[in-house]
This record gives sequence, structure tokens and C-alpha cells, in this order.
Amino acid sequence: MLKFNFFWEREILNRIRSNDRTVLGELFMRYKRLIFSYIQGHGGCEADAEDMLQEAIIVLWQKVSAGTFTFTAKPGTYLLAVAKNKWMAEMRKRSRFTANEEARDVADGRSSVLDELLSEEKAGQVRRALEALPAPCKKLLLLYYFEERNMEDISRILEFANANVAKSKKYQCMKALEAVLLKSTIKAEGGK
Amino acid sequence: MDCQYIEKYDVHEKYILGRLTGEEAGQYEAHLKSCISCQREFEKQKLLISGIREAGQREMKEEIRRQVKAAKLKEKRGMDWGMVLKAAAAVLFFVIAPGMIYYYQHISPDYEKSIAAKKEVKATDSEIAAPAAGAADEMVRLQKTETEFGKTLTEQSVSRQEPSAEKGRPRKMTTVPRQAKEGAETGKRLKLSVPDPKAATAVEQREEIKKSEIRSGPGEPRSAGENEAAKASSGPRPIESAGSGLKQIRTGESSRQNAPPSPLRDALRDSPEQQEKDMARSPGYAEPLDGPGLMTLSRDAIPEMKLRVYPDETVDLILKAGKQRVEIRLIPSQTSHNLQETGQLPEQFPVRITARDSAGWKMQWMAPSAMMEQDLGKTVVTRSGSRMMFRLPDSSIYRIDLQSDTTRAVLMK
Repeated sequence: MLKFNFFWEREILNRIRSNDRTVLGELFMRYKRLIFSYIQGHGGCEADAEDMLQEAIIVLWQKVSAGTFTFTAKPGTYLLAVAKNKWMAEMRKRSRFTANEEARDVADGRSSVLDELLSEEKAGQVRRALEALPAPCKKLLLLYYFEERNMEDISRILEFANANVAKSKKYQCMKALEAVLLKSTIKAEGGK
Repeated sequence: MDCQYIEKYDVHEKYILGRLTGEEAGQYEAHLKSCISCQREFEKQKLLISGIREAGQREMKEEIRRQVKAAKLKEKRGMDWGMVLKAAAAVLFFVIAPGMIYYYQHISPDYEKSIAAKKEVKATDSEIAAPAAGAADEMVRLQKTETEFGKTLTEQSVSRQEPSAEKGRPRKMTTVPRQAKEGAETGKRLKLSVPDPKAATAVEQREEIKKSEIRSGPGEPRSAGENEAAKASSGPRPIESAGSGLKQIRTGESSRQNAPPSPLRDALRDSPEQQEKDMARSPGYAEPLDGPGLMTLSRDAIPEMKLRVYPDETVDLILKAGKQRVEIRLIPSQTSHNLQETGQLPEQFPVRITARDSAGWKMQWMAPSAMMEQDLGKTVVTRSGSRMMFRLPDSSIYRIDLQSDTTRAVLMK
């Protein structure tokens, strides 16, 4: 059984490296009980636990994709550690957002909350602009900036001739995204 | 580090992605504090990258939710056929396959047959003396009667089917040559009428043998000397007389105690030569009515032989060669004979006491051609202890020791 698990874990990492996204659901189902029991045992609800597990899986995915994941622990242990840290951060974040603190922030003239809202709004605009891009462009940008894969991996996944082609394509897609974003901003301002 | 270098080598992006070394990052931060255009570019790049990352994160979370939902739906729908197939494969591998292997190796019908055959061989070996195997080969002899075929053959063929022979196809004939003298001697034992092997197939032979009947007939007693010599003989007593193509077999009386009389088994006890001698000395021996011309089935022709002994002393001899099967039933004579036939009884001869109930005493002995039975009730002269004297119609008086079922009658007067 241990041997079987070991091979399964190795296989999971290989599948992540080869951009097999079906691993996501499998990881969730496999470690659901472990993460959920921890989060729910530490003041979180089911939605929180689900969110934490999803984020932990994403971190694992990014680490493995970027090649920065070292196989020193089982994926389950790694996911639990990530979920714990994230949940602690979330708890701290929530504790900051108590009514008194929020009121004091506004009174002091600090705009941390507003800044956050503004940055979220801007991020939302970028998301929408990204959706407007052609699918290969969007995929390339996500592979490079979100999954932080190297150009060799991207050229292999997207079936480009080589890494240089992927690099030039990435530059073009970034410019296209800027253009779409600028266009949408102008449109929004003109609408107002 | 200047603006041109930063633009050329995508330093903004590398800084945001954390791909700069500590020194490079320090130089970049120092430049950024003093360069407003680079600050603007950095903010723009940061916004774009954070937006892409957030989009990627949302998309991945959505992907996870979709897959989990699909998995739950699959669970609700019922069986995971993939798992079922895996489980079936596991069951096949760990349970059924070893079971089948075990079955074919240990409990398959063929295996049981082979085991049963081995057991029978063992039983036969233990029951019958060492040369039984050889005697068994020579036990069955077939003779073609003159009345059926018009002449006696000194050499006949026994059909034998090769293992690879096709079903229903006439079997390959193998000729077993045999000396006429041997045929004459062996003809005293057992005689079966078989159809002409040159013309008939093995199946026909088998059917012919199955149809043959067993019956007893009158015989002639032998001399006292021969009867005396027969005392020491524990050999077989099968006596035959043939006629009109029908097989006639009469069984002799075994002198062995605590064992059902079985002429066939008795025949298997001794070597063929010894049996020939025993037969010649036997009081129940009769010259064959037919002449020589016996056929001997070789051992190769009968790979399997089975004996079935019934309580009433009937013996089934089952011979198997490939798919061919021959059954021969030997039925002991039940005929009682007239006491007038006892006129030429020897001075001593083996007898068996068969009844001691209120009906009286009955004595059996082997006449040359039949099993004889005599009610001793009216013939008893005296009886003292375990000895009894009886008088036969020819006025001769014999003595019998009653302590055992099988004893001998000794002429007293």
C-alpha cells in the first residue's frame, strides 16, 4: 500500500508537469477529508475548507510547474502545510477587519481597504481583458505568469517550434492584452 | 542599471516574478526610486501580472469545482465501471485464475479419472500377485468359433484405435501373431466369440461382445488324481464351453477363505504358465470344446482394465482402449445338478458349505463343467463335532470338516 501510494504521488507530480489538469479534482477528492477536518477543527466552515484546499492545490501546481517543488514530503503533507499557513493568514486578515479597526483606518486616513478594493477592481478589468484575448494567447500568458512555467515547457505544451517562438508570442500577447485593457478603459471612461 | 537595460531585459517582469538575484533586485529598487517612468511601467506590469494570476487562480478553482462536481455526480449515479473492471480483474487474477489452475490440476474430471485409475491399479497390484499385470494382458483371449466363421484361426487381429484417430473412423488394426500351441492352451481359460476382425471394426467387435451371453452347461468330472493335484492349486477355475457363436463361461470355486470367489481375479494371481498348470490339474477343468485358435490381446491394446466384483460373485471385466470400451460379465453358475453326476468324484476335492440354516446343509464343488450343489440333509450319515459324514448315491461316504466354509471332502469308504 505504501509502495502504491508512493508511486501514485510520483505519478501525480509527473501529471502536473505534463499539464494534466484532471489531477486537480483527484487531489481535491483525495485530500478533502484531511484538509477539511483541519480547517473545520480550527474555526473554519466547509466553504473556507474548500477554499483553502483549492488554494493549496494551486500552490502545489504552481510549485511543480515552476520546477521549484522538491519531493521532500508527500503531497498530502505539503497540501496540509500550505492550507494551514493560508488559513492562519486568512484568520489574521479577518481579525484585522473587525469593525473597530476598520473605523480607525478610515479615521486615520489610511485607505488599505479601499486600495484593496481598487486593486481588485483593476484585477477584474485585466481578467476581462484576458478573456477577450484569443485562446492560445490567454493560455500562454497563464502558463507563463500564473503557472510560471519556463519557455521550453510552454513551447512543448502549446506545440510551438521552440522556446524563442514562445517568447516572442508571449511578448505579442502581452502587448495585445495591454491594448485590450487600454481600449476597455477608454470605453469605460467614454461611457461615463 | 538604467531604463534601457530594464526595458531590454524585462527587469520589471523578473522583479515581479522574483527572478532577480539579490544584487540585481537592490539595483533595480534603487533605480525605481529615482525613475518615475520606470515606476509607472512597474505598476502597469504588476497590475497585468496580478490580473493574469488572479484570472488563472479563478480559472483553476473553477476547474477543481467542476471536476469535483463531476466526481460527485458520478458517485451518485452509481458504479464506477472503471473500478468495477479493476475489481473484476483483481478477482480474476487472485481468485478465479488460481481456482481454475487448481481445478485443472487437482479436481478436473480427467484428473479424477487418472487418480481413480491409479487407485485401481494400486488395488489390483496389492490384491493380485506381482505378475498380475502380465497375467492381465494374457487373461483375455478371444477365439473365433468354427461354427461362426467356418474355421479356426491361429492368428487373429485385434482392432485398436490410435489416440489421435478421428471419432467414428474405423480403428487401426494391429495384428498380434500367436502360436497355435499357446492358443490351444489359453483356449482352456476363456473363450469369446468375436466377429472377423478383418471385416469388422472395433465398434462392431465391442457390440458383438456385449451381446454375448453367459451361461453354464454340463461338464465331465475328472479323475481323482487330477482332483488331488488341484487341492494345492489356488488358481482359477473358469471353465468354458462354446457353441454356436455364443460365449459360455462358468466360474470355478475358489479355495481361498474370506474372499469372494472371483475366477478372473484368481486368474490374475498367478503367472500365465502357473495358471496353465493349475488349470490342467483343476478338477473343474474341461477340455475346450472348440479347437485352438485363440487370440491374445496385447497389453498395448488394453491400456485400462477395471474389475468390478459384485456380492453375488458376478464379475465385470471392463477393458478400455482409447474410446473403445469392452465389458465382459462373468456370472457364476447357479445351476444345481443331479447327484448322479457325482459318481466319478475323486478321493478328495475342495468343497464349500453354503447353508447351515434350518433347511439343512448344502455343499458346493466344482464339477468339470459346472458348479455343483448338493443338499446334504438326506445324505448325512453321522455328525460328530465339526466333522460330518455323508453318503452319495454311489454309496461312497465322504467326510467334511465343518469348521470353515471352504474345506475338502475326503473319501472314507
